[in-house]
Amino acid sequence: MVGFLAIRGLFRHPARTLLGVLGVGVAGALLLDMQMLSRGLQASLHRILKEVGYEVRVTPRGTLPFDTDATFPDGHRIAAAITAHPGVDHAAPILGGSVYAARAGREPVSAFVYGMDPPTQALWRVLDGRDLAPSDSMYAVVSPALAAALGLSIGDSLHAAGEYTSQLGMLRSPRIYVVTGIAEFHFDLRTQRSFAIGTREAQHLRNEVARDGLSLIAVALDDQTSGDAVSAWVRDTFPEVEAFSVVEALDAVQGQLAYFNLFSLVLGSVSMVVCVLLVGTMVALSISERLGELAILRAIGLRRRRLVSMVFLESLALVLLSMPIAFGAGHLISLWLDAILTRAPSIPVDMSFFVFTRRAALRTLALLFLSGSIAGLYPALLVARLRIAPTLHSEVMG
Amino acid sequence: MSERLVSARDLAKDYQLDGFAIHALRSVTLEVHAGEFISIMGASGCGKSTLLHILGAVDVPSAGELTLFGRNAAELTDAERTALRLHHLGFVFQRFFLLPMLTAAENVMLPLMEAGLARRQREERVHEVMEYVGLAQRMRHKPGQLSGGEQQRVAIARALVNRPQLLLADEPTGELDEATGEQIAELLQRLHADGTAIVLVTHNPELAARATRQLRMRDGQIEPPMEGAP
Repeated sequence: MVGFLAIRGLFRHPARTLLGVLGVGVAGALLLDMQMLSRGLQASLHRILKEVGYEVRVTPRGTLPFDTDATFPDGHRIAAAITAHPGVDHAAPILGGSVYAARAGREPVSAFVYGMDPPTQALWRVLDGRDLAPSDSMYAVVSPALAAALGLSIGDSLHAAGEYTSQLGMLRSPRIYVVTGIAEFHFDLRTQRSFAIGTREAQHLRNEVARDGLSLIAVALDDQTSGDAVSAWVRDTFPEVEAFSVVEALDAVQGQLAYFNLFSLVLGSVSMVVCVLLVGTMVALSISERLGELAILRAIGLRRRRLVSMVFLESLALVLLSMPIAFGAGHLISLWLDAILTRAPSIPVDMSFFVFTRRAALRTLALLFLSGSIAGLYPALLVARLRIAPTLHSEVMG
Repeated sequence: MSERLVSARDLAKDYQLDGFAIHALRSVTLEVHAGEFISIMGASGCGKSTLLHILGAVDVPSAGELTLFGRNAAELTDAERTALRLHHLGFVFQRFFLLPMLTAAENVMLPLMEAGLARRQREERVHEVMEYVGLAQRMRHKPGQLSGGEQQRVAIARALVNRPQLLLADEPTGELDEATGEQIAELLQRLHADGTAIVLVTHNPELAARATRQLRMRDGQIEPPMEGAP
């Protein structure tokens, strides 16, 4: 009965209700976008890490993967020790860092080298040509940006070195690789020029052979082993390195994204307040127009709590009706905003700011329902305090 | 003697309006028995509607004793007064107060829904009472599609649908033209003939004259009956 009366009451003025629903829908869309933004980068990173497929990452002490050129020594020894640990399937040594790259006879450009041995690599996705094979010690795959900068095609030679003599315009002790494929690198910035070769080759370029320096060891586990347990073991066993399970890495990244959280908190709160004010005003206005009817409903025997529930339900129904708009518009707006933000040159290719997750959807639903409930408080109070006789009297006199 | 439905003794109702004390009722004593038809007349502001509201358990007296259907009104909780209105009382007002977004049948059905009757029972009862007020063919119409007289008949059907022992009518013809008012008067008389007790507040002497007991109020009091009056 309460639902019956609430829905009928809501559609007494269809145009007004529609406008209200649209308004709440737009506020709800912004609320959804802020929920998507608050954990969007983290969720996006989680998706990439899952795609890459390693459960633990070992980095130089005090760093996150590839956030600096720092390396740690004895990399292959540590990788071998980790591989021997129970529950570890394999550990992939990786070296990344800044180098110079050129085509024969052309001016060099700065580039980023990924050294990771096939067939365990998962840092890039080949778009054209073929990936590196285990025997490909002098082969490379290059990013589209590097290929474009140097005019490289599959089969061309890539000259690379750790140092560049600007006076001579020459690479110092260059090493030469044959391009086997064009690949998109998951963690590259949009305009980043990168190429990938084997780990040992990268150590040659970065002058890390002697100390066996690595930037990262990616550790794959079997299904029964916990990433947190292995990362804790690595940290205890090798104090010179940092180790992160996927969850720990995401938490560490989240700490660096406090700005986005704050931003989404402020805008999300504003959209909630707009929701509350919109729904509250609409329902309170509707109630004040119907005081006589509500008084007569009480007079003919409808219980007070029945009418209070009806008003509450009207608030919630307004919010409920606005949800398809909130989710539809929110999704479209997020695509648009994401396209704008990810165009920035400092954003990795595969990252997204707005990611639709179950958590974002559930939080939006919960916050919208909370808004509807808060909005219903004042109109519900009006009905709870309604005095039948004076209301009927004033309605008749009016 | 027929069953006593309502007994009021020395009822008073005072309230404050803009800092002034208003004595809406003073020492009103009245009994309503089953099957009675009482009309109350008097000038505007003499306390007729206030008395009706107190008899109908939508307002409480400031002083005096009130027994409603064998229960001391002063001891009733809000929920008990609500239940009393639902099961024993019917209200008809000058303004019809029908819910415009519901059909006539849905408006009439509301008290039955509140009483928790099953859907089929509700539909049967609504059909029965709509037939009684002569609107069986207009059940699916919304109030905006009905004339004033038809709307008032729907309001009467809503008041009757839970088969109340006492119908309280406050100026039921006040917003109707003479001919339509006459139809409502005939309906009330038929209701009385069928055994429902009625307390009717009106300015209309012809309507009041149809009652079996006619009372007049002045300054919050019931005037003593004139000699020769019924």
